[in-house]
This record gives sequence, structure tokens and C-alpha cells, in this order.
Amino acid sequence: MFRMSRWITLFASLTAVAALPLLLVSVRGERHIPAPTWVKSAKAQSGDWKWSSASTGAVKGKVNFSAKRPNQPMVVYLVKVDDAGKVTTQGQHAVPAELKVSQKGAKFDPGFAVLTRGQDVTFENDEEKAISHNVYFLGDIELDLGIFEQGAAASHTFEDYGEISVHCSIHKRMDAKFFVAPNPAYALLDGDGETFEIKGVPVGKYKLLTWQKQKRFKDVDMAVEIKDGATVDVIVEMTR
Amino acid sequence: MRWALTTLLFMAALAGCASAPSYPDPQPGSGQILVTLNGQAREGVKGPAREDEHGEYSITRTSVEKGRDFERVNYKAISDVVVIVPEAAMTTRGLASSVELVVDEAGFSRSQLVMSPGTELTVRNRRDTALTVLGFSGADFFELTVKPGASASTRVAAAGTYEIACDEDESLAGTLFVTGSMYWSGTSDEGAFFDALPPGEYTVEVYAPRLPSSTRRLTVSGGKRQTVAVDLTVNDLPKARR
Repeated sequence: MFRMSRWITLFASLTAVAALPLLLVSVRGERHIPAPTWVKSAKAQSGDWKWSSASTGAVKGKVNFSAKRPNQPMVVYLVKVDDAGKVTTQGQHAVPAELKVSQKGAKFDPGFAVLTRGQDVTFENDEEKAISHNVYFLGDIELDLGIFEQGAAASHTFEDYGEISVHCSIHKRMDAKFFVAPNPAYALLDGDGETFEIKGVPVGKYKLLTWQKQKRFKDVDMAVEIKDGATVDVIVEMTR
Repeated sequence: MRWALTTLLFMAALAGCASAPSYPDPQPGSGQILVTLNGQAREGVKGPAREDEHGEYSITRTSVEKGRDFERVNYKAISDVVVIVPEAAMTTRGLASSVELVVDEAGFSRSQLVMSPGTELTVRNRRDTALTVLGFSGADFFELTVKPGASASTRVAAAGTYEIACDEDESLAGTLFVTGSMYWSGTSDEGAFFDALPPGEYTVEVYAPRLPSSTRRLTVSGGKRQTVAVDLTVNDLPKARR
């Protein structure tokens, strides 16, 4: 959960900003917070338990915003934790079909997507002319898929989760943004969505977290326990 | 005629000076850091440069990596690179009094900005509709509503990395680095020069838009200049197997 709590970590360590992992150095006086310091070491493990064989419950809730919200999507998602509140195995779950991303006209289409960990994405160079594209990821997952010619494609399976910005090194304005959820227990709220319900969640302890495509509020990190056949009601307060 | 020739030579000399910046020699007791930013292909990279109809500034090349061809990409030019030496505590020296961000039909004038805490940030709106420009660092935020053809200012007090966005146009995006370090440079891709650094260990951080950030650790000695060459490239990203 280390990676996904990037923002939370940021808030917690603001007064002691030297805690950021990139720069383990002694500091004199005041210092700045580095640019988004994506942590790339944490891996999500499936474990040997199966979502399909678990007893399930649900969580539903309302999201309140302390100020005007941008007309941008946000995600409310659950991460399985152990009794000590630490991120544990996320279970084996069904994975949605491969996401196909077009690159026609030097544009990623879709330019935004929420995926589930384990899902495949294929970038298709469907240009009508002989134009090459490159795809690389920055963010929680950093990877270069290389360059491919018109008619070729490049695929990747997301084994980890988090925020990924997708770029083409050949084309300056060719960008996309993905959020890969750690498991299927997430809800995507549109620009004006304020309520959510996540059903079929295996019983147990979770963290409920938020992710915003355009960061404007402090992300939420709250404990939620899912019980068999029950629905937990939560209020998610998004504040600055 | 002779005067014209002299003038021409003088102008040529000026142009020469402008293209190759010269830096003062280091003084005894303090050192310097020169960060050079390399957007060109690296050693070992071969093959012809290639551009397509969308290719604004890229060169693609082929290199041999682990016994097989692997195509690589290097940028020709990148603007708005921010270089920060974070250990150096802020003093009253070197503070910019204001930083300006212009919004016109093409978008933000800068994709990355850097300044010290308390500096005035001015947003100038060259569009014909009012805009609300916001910045959020995860802990602090600012919000400016700017009338068409006007400007608005705020002082950003808290250090942090602010994502800048606009309510009316979601395609507008930028990053504002508010750093407590007195050593930073946010001007161009020509590099960064830091003078009169007390001898000691330093970290140099380089942030280029759309590229992985780069961190270098180095020791500065009195009377010496340390040169750090940083490649602005995706070459060092892990490569997907295929």
C-alpha cells in the first residue's frame, strides 16, 4: 500500500519532508519536497485465496467535497489489509478483457482508463500512414514498451497497481492516464458522481482509498471491514 | 567599409558568446556545479534520424542492447527543465520577485515552473473568457480567478510540488516546484550553473516534463567546478520484454 499512499505520505511528512525516500541525505534548514516521487518497489501479490469462493459483503457511500470539484473522474477503491492494517495479498479474481488503445492521429484512445490488476492493455499502431509510435509509462509503474511501426502493436500486463501516465516519446502531446486498481473492488465516479456502491467484496479488513485524476483534494485513507451479507455505509470527506 | 567589417566581426563575436555561455572561474573556498542537459542520442546509439508528420522534435534510433536491436528515442529539445540542489538552505539571496504563467489559446506558457516560498505567482489570461487556475500540492493549494485579458497574483507560501490545473479547460496542466533550496534553475534546456557553493555533498535533481526525474549525488570541493551531464531521455527506463 506504500505506493498508493503516496499522497497520504506526502501530507504526513510535510513538516518532516526529509522522509521522502528518494533522497536519504542530511539536510540543512528548510528544503523542498521533490516532484512526485513514485515508489516503484512495492508489488501486489495475488495470494492463494479466491474471490469466487469467498463470502461477500458490500460498501456504499457518499463523497462530500469541501470545495468546488473539477469535472474529472475519481476512483474509490479497496485494498485488502491484514489484522495489523498492513497491505496483504489481494486474492485471485476475474480480470476484465484486454483494453485496446488506438494510436490513430498520434492520440491515445481512450486517453483515460481504470484497469484492474492483472488486466492486459494492447497499444495498436492503427495509423493510416507509415508513422511509428513509442509507448512508455511513468508513475507507479515505469516501463518502455519500445517503438513499433504502423500495423504493429505492443502489450503489457499490469501486475502492479497505481497511477500511470502514458506517453509517446516521438509525439510531444501524445499522453494518456491510467489508474490500475489493486483488485475488482473499486468504483469510478464521473465528474459529477457523488455516490458509490461496491458489491461482492470478500469479507475482511480493507483500506478505502481515493484516487483523483486531477488532484485537488487530500486523498482519503480509511479502514473498512466487510462482513458477510452486510453493507457498510461510509461518508468520504474530500478536503483540502 | 572597414567599419562595416569591424561591426560584422563584433556582431559575430557577440553571437559566439551567446551560443557558448561562459561561467566565472570558481573562487577558492567555494565550488560550482554545472549541469549540462543532453537531449541528443547517447554513445552507442546508431542509425538514421527520422521524423514523421507529427514528429515535432524527436529522433528515433536503433541501438544494440543485449545482442538484439532495440529502438530508442531521444528528444532534440525539451523546455521547462527544472534543476534543484536541495541541500542548500534558502537565504534571502537569489529570490525571484515574481514568476509569471501566461494562458493563451495554445495553453500554458510553461509546463514547469520553479520558485522559492513566498514568491508572487502571476497568472496572465490572454484568452477571451475568465479562467480559474488552481494549484494543489497534496497539502496546500492556491486558486486564482483571472478575467479575460487581465492577470491575477498570489503568494505561494508552502514548499511543495503543485499540480496546476484549470477549471474551464482540462487540457491545461503544469507543475510548480516551490523549493526551500536557494539553488535552483528553471529556465531552459541549456543547463544550470550554481556558483559559490560551500564545499560538501550535494544532490542534483533534474525534472523534465514527460520524462523520468534524475537524481545525482556529488561532492563539491573548494575552487573546483563539478560538471554533471544528464541525459533527457527515456533510454534508462526498464524495457518491456518482446
